[in-house]
Amino acid sequence: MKNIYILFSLLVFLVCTSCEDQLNLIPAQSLPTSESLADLDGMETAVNGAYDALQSVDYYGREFVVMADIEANLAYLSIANSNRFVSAYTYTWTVQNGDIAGVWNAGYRAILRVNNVINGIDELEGDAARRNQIKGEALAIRALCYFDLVRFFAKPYATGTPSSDLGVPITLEATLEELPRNTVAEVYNQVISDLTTAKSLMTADSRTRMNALAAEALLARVYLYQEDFTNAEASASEVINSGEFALIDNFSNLYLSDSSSEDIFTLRFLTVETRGSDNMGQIYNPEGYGDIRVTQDLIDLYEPNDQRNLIYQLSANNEYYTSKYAGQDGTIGLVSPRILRLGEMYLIRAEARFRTNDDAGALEDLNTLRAARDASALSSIPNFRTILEERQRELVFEGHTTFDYWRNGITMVRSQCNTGLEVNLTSCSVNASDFRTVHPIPDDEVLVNQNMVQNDGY
Amino acid sequence: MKKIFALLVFSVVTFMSVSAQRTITGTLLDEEGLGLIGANVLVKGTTIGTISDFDGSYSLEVPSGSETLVFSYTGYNSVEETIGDRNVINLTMTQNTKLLDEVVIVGYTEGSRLGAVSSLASISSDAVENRPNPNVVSSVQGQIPGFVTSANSGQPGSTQQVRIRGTGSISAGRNPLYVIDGVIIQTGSFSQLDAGSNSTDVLSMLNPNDIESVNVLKDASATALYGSRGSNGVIVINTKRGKAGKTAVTLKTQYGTSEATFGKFKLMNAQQQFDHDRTILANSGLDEAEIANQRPTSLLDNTFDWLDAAFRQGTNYNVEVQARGGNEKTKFFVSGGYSETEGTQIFSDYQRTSLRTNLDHTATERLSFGLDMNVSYSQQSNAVNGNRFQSPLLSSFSTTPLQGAVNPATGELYVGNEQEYIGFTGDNFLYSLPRNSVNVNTFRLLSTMNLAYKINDNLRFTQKTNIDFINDDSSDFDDPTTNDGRDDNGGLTSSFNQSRAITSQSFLRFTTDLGGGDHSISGLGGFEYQRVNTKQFFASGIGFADGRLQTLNSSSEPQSVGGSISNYAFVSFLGHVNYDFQSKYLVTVSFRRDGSSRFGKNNQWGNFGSIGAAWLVSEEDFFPENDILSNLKVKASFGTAGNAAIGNFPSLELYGFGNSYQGNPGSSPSQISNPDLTWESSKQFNIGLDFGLFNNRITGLVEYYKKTASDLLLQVPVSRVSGFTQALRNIGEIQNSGVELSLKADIINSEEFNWNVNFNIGFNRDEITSLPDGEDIDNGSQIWRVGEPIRSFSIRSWAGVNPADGTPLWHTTDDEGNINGITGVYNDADELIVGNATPDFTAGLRNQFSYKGIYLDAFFYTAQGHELYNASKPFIDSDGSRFGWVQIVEAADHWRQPGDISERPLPLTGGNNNSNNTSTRYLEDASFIRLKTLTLGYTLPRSISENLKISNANFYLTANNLWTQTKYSGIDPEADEDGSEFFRYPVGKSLSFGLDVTF
Repeated sequence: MKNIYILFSLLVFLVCTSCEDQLNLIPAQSLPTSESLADLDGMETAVNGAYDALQSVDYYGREFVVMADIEANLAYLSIANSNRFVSAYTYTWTVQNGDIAGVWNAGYRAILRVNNVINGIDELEGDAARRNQIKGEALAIRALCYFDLVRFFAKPYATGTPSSDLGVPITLEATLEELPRNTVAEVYNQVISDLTTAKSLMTADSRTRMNALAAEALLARVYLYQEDFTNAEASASEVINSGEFALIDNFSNLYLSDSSSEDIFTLRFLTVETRGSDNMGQIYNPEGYGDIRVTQDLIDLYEPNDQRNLIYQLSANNEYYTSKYAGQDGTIGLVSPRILRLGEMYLIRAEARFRTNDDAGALEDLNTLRAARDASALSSIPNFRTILEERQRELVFEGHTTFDYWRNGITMVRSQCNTGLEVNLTSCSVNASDFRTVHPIPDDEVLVNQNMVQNDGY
Repeated sequence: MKKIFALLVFSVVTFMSVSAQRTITGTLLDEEGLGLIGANVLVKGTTIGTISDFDGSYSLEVPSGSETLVFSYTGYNSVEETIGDRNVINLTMTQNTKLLDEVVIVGYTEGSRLGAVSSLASISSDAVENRPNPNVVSSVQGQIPGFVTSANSGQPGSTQQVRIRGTGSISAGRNPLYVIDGVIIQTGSFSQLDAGSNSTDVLSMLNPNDIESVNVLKDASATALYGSRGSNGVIVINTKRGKAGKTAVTLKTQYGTSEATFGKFKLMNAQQQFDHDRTILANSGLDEAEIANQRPTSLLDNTFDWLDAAFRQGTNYNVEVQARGGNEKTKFFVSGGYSETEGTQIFSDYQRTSLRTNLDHTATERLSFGLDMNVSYSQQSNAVNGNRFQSPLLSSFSTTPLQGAVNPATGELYVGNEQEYIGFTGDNFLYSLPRNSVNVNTFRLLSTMNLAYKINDNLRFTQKTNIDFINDDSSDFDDPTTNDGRDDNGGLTSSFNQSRAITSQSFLRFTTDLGGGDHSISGLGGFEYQRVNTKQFFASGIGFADGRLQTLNSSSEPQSVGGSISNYAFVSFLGHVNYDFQSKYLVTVSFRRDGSSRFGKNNQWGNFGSIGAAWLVSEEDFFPENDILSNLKVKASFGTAGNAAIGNFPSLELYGFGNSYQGNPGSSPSQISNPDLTWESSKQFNIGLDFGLFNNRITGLVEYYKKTASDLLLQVPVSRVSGFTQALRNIGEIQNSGVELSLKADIINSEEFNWNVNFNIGFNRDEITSLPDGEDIDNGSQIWRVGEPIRSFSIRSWAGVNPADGTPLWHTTDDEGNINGITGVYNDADELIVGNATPDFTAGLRNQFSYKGIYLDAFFYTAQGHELYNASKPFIDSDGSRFGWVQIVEAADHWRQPGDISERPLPLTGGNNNSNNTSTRYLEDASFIRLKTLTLGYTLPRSISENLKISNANFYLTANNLWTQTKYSGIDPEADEDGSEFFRYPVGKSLSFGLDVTF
């Protein structure tokens, strides 16, 4: 009898001493923050996580890039569509639109990832050059995100009043605080400051990661959007004159592989990272969704021999498509976006020169580009439209078209409108002063954040 | 035909002086005339007695002068007989229905009066056996008030959501805890590859024909023993155990067919779709030539009914052998069964093989042990859900009938990627489905070793050790020639999931009557440990030369690999005490202290407890004997429980390592820290009245309960500027209160004809009582708002169609949510609360008739007051927005010219002003009444079965879901609390024929 009691107590005792241990389990595939960012290796892994955030379908994976073109006149959305981008094409999005919210969320997700690196890296030991490179990349990524967010969700710097227009909230650390919107000017200042610092820190030259010349190239674009033509020209010249880049031999090959001579910063997608039907190219390829097709406006822009004339007609329905994103290395529709490339630098400098009355210089840049693309040389630049059209020829489907209209105060006119091939439109043009040239702050953000002010008109 | 056998058999035989003894013999029978085994025969006032043997006969030597014999048997009324000068005393003993319900073995407690005090409802095997659905939960529907479940998918073996007394949480788990034979087991979906409502539930691995009883624990007095996991209620399933007596071998077979039912839902045929498409094009301003170009009449030459092709007549087939028997020392229940169900959707099947041995052995007077072992293996081919090209569900509901299935040029099936193929998914499932497959194979071993050691008359030690081992092996193959497989030249993903759970329970159980017969105390105290380790692994490869090569070795390029491990543990101390005074006053107190690896460091241990009491008023001396009220019991309980279904590591601040750039590993913040994070708590108060009328011809139970759940885990939305969209906090509070009523009545109880009725109804009202900062939380088309039910729909209110121009209209509201105007701009309209997804009440009515050997059992179930959002309609009643998709027949009834009053706007390509956006246009009342089961059967009369040398034979025909009454226009009004129906796999109706033979 007693034995039983002793045995039982022993049993209970034995089991219980290991009680507390049993409850201290840790996950097998995550680490606490302090341990993940403990050294330079961890910081580099975290920056890789930031590049991964840029690859999100909502951001450079597709939506952000495509919206800038489907909201313009160079392409239309077919009536036989997979129900993507309908509200973007027709300018009828609601404040709950998922693609728009996706851009906001993706941008800030990437910003969180780099903020943790920027804030923690100075205390770590290790090779100074490596530390600077990592920090520089993080700053450049942060600048890119803020620049994209402010041009998507706020009035253009050039046509508005940036010192009072509402931009986007700036956060430089991980916080759950409900931040108010900073002004457009403040955001641009942050972007320029980050890029300037980044450019001085980076020394490596991999073109699939941020690098010093990429920071310079992005600065050129930012200055252009600010209409700071002097600095835009200077930065563009830095990049062009560096000798590191050359315009590609045959433009049609640009997106068929993941690297070229004109890449300044490419967000590289590996073949195994294919998303199948969700690859960016598949929205343009009839073998995929093929929803977005080419309008007469775009066809009219090209000379027949222009290398950038990648338009073809499909026999099944006689409509026009682009083969720009046929696919990388044989994977249909796979695209590694060239976020910054040499072609754009020539255009930036041409625009800057034109607007500072250096017509000759502008013409020279345009013709250098055109020569490389097998287009005939221009004899003069009659008006700004010439510059705009050259940008469209070169950069169509790369995420620039609507931004170019709005920052210059130009009305977007769709000459191919309601012909029966496209989704029904209530209006064939959008004025640059229309409230819809600025996307709404996502409803989810406005509902949660007491300090968030929605854009006019929404 | 029930026999209740004694749990404890006493055997005391004393031989007194040899002289002047006589032998009394006789037979003791039950009300059906069958012998009572193990009944007690005692000479009154002495310890001289015996027990009856296998056919109820006994033989007792009684000393001279003995006057009275006392006959007793657990559950039966004791009888005293004067011996007189009889040598043979035969008796028929009658059941004591009053005491019967109180003897229950449920979960941790054994033989205690749990049911007397707490809210516990049981249904026995006859309500769950012989049903064609492999998942037992579907058979419990409607039989127990407060237990609400709905059949969400017709995929055989699929998961079913269960709610006991309402929804107890907002974002943590809401399903009850499942216990089989006293051990908490794993349930739910394990495979990574089957999705959503069609996923396989491992609970379907349990053969329902092995079940003896299903007990639902509803109030705190019953659930407190489950501590931090009991707040959503507990379902305790007991499987059949051996019985002393002749071995009964039963053979069961069943065969049936089923068909998919779509209620009022109907798609357009080719001609209707053609006319409708042309109308849309004309409305959008195209001229004749352009219309003829887009929709030439040649399309009508090759049409096809896709919905019809996706569904077939389903079949189900079950065969099983069970053997049950034993003697006083060893008892066994053994079964082996095979069940095969072909679902009504093509290529969806479920097969299960299950073997069970439940063995109990009494080794010595003190020591007994047993081993239960259940091995089962199931194979499912899964009807692929939603957004995959190959999904017949999506394709059959969306592909226009104007697209033929066979290419007239080649005579072969279209693949779907041809230039001229206009079906929306770009995939012909008749081609792809036979080639692409999603298979889920699951192996389960559920085994328990039981040990009991009697320390003395009052104290016993029991040990239970269980292993629940689940191994799931799934594969998902895409043939290179199909649309899903084309991009990569075919793909195969193989995944393996394994879960190993070990549970150990060690208890000391005691019973004592504190001297004197009036008091009795029993209870238990002890310790439970449960540890669950899960491991997952998957690999996928692409590039297959031929669709018939379906192994990873045949893929030319490995594509990705992944794996994860996750563990959790619970350590608990629990105990409970029952006190019983004169069998009239009962009090039960329970306690549990739980610690778990899931809870944050600051809150790792929790205490839970309950107290309940019952008063058997009808046992009181003052209670008048009367023919009307034969039984009256009042009970009440109050206690706490918790909900620990919160994920395994919710409190830690973490970086995740799943991403990469250029093949190099990347990391990112994956979780915000919260060391205070812990279980959700709940408090419940229950009060009830049990009554019996007319000598228990009618018995019933009325209960009122109120449950408050607090510290609810909520993902509180945070500013997205933080990089996160939400963070987890213990912060909300909800309340459920309701009334449950159940009634059983033997309306007619004669020799030949019997009719009894079983009715139950449960009303539940829920309300959110607190949210962080009182702010609403958006949940898609539902909303969580203080003061409103948990599953409230908050969407814009549809105001019809503008008769002047055919554009859509919605309502605007003022700040209080009252409608104050109409607008044609969707963004200007306001959301308001327009209904909720949980029923106001559910009820079941079961009528059983028997006449001689024929019996008829009809069971009706109703759920009333719930709304269902018909989420398929925005796509197939889309006013032209989904041009090219098939539409429902009613879509042709739309506005055509100024002055028309119509439900539908003018259809245009690209839609009409967002008319098919989320609004009450698609929200419907889904109240329904359904004849869930109708069974007609015949039991062979004893004379015939004896001649055939069998003990029982039963033939039956059973039909499920034969008839439904509802106003709902979608596919099926039964839905779970998510409240949304999106192209679902309908449950359908079935008819089966079966035969049970017992030897």
